[in-house]
Amino acid sequence: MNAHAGAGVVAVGRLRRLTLLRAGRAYARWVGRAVGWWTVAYLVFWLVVFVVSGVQLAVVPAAEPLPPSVAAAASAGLSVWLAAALPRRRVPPVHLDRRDLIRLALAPVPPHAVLAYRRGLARAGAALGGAAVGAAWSLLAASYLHVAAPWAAPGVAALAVARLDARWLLYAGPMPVLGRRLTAGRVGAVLALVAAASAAAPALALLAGGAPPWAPAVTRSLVDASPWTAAAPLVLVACAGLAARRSLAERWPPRFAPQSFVLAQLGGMRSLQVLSRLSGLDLGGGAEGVERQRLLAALHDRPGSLRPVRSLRRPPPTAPTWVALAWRAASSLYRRPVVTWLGLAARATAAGAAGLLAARAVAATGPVAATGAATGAPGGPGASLGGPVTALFAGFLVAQTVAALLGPPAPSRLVPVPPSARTWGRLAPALVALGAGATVAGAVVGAVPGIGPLAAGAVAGYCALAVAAALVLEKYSSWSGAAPTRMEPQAVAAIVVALPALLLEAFGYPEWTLTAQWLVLAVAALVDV
Amino acid sequence: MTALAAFDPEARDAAPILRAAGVSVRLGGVSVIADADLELHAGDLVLLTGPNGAGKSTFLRALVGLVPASGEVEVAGRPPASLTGRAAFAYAPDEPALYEDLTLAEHAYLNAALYRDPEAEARTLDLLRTFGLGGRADEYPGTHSRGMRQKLALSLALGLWRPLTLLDEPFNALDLESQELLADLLRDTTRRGGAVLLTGHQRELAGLLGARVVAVRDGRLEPQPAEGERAAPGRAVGGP
Repeated sequence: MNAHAGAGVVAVGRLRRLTLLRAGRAYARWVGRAVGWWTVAYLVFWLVVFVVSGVQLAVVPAAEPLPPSVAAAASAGLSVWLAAALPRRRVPPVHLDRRDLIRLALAPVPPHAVLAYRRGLARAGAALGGAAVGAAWSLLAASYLHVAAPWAAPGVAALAVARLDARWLLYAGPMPVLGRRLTAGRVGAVLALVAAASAAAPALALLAGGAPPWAPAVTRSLVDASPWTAAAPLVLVACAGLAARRSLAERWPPRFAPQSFVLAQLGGMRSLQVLSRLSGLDLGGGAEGVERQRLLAALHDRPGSLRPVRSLRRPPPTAPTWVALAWRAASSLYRRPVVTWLGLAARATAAGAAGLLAARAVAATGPVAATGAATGAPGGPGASLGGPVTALFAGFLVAQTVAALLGPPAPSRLVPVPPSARTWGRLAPALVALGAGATVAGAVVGAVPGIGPLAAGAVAGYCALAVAAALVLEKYSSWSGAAPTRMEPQAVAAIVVALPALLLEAFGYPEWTLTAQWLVLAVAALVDV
Repeated sequence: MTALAAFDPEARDAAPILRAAGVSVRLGGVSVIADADLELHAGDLVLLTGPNGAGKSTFLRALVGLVPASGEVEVAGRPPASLTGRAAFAYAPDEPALYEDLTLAEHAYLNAALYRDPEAEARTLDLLRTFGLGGRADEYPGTHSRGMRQKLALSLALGLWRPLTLLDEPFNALDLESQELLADLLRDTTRRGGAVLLTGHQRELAGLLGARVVAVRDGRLEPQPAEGERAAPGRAVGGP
């Protein structure tokens, strides 16, 4: 290392210490003011007491040890987990944020010094997770397998850290570790193979009746009480760590910087989503899902990073504004992954089933019931679900589904869009999906013995309930600024659609519930916010 | 209101397109804009200049209602917050406000549909072609450079042909060729009878655009005499 690079390493270390120290001080001050350290200590104390006593109560030593196949299954699971690191890694297990990428990664500083902090954090997380699993294994093995394994915690922690380093080595692929031929990818593959094969040894021994004596060396701490059993995993982690560091001696892996950019954006988006969920802000409906898709496509160099892979035909520009907004909402849904579609279809069907059952119970008590028994007997399973609680539940389920299907928020408030166009445009695809879900749900519910086909009254009741819930959700969230995915607008929508059933049942006029439901729908449609 | 009417020479003497009287903005207890008056008529091209932090962007945001302000603002005789008032202006902020999940062409379509002006889509696409983005209209703006995003934002605003166009730092991030192109487009807009109010740091912009200059200093608007008129100030565009 020349003097220039050495000075860079020192500078990076100093920068880290400075920023971490300041962040630590600020965090400590904030916790002290917002929560209070005595409160934190009190909570931690009782948490430890509860966890320890809970474990003592829950883990009762078995009189007879469990069969060895349980240990073999555990070893097979560990082996699969370690081997899962083997396939070619296309994404780095650790990455830099945008600021470090520009300020540090482009500076003449050895990459290992720049990545040291991030790697350290990731390794500490892996070590903690591994230690927790190992400690749990020690406890369970002593109680249920009658095997003393006090060194399992450091053993598994070392394995977890080695696995992380092996993943990095496999990602770094052609980067040299020792000479030209010993590349990072080869070292990583050997390390992961050794660990996985070693972990599989007990399972193989059970199947084949024996295994070579060296094989379980890396995982021996799981079944042996000797402190030396932790030595092999520690050697493994030392080798992996050294190799990972050497792979970062001079150059970055070729795709590390562009992928870090994307991963940092994805991380920022995730943080923003968590914060928006906590604060109830509406960030953009399904729009961020499409943006996430685009970033993932960029990360893996797949089609869809530059232009959409699927698009809906645009309506003519002469179409009314609500049609344009409906196209916008439908496009947002259409561009989501197929798995998301399946989830949304399931939710729409579940909401349809709940709404139809609630409406069927309401219809059974109303004037429609008198026109025929097709609505189902009031004493049947549908009627037993009737009442305001059912309507509330159905309204909440519908509101939750609509929140997931709702189009992106209205454009800037500077754009001249009437509120009604915004509402109907954003809701149109959601209402179509709800209708399709209700059709499927109706067919399924109608085929259930004892319920029978649903009458027109039940369908009309569901329509009134679902559309009213959707309208209230959209209008309330637009008016208040609360994200529709938040509990508050969904609860408001559910309460509003359950009001007719609640009030009319309380005052002794349940037969007017359906009519009142339509009245609520009319009012919700007319309110211009 | 849809596209602008053809340029009317008499329009200068008609009612102002923008009338701001006694506009004041206080943010966090600090006065950012104090008692500002400004009138723009059809065909006016006004450049707000001033140092960083003088309040140029804040004034523009106050005009369209993006920051709370006291005083009176009318766009085409209507409050800018009303539906018809909003239909009368186009605003492009300094940071392009774009949808990352829509392509450039979809932006043009949605913009035209929202303003109920079907021809605006074709005009915006024309502008994108003029700016050299015609071949990239089916791409997401998220993958584009800052300058390309700026071109899209400007095309969306200028393609609408509103009576009033408000542009915050429109020349930022544009290459030299695009800067000259934008200057031509702004002059075209005013020739058609539109009024343009823009902000910028560079005093030479006034010469490039042939615009009247209003300086923003310590939150106050100070109309500047046009080039060659320093001895005998002409019509005060920005003054009371």
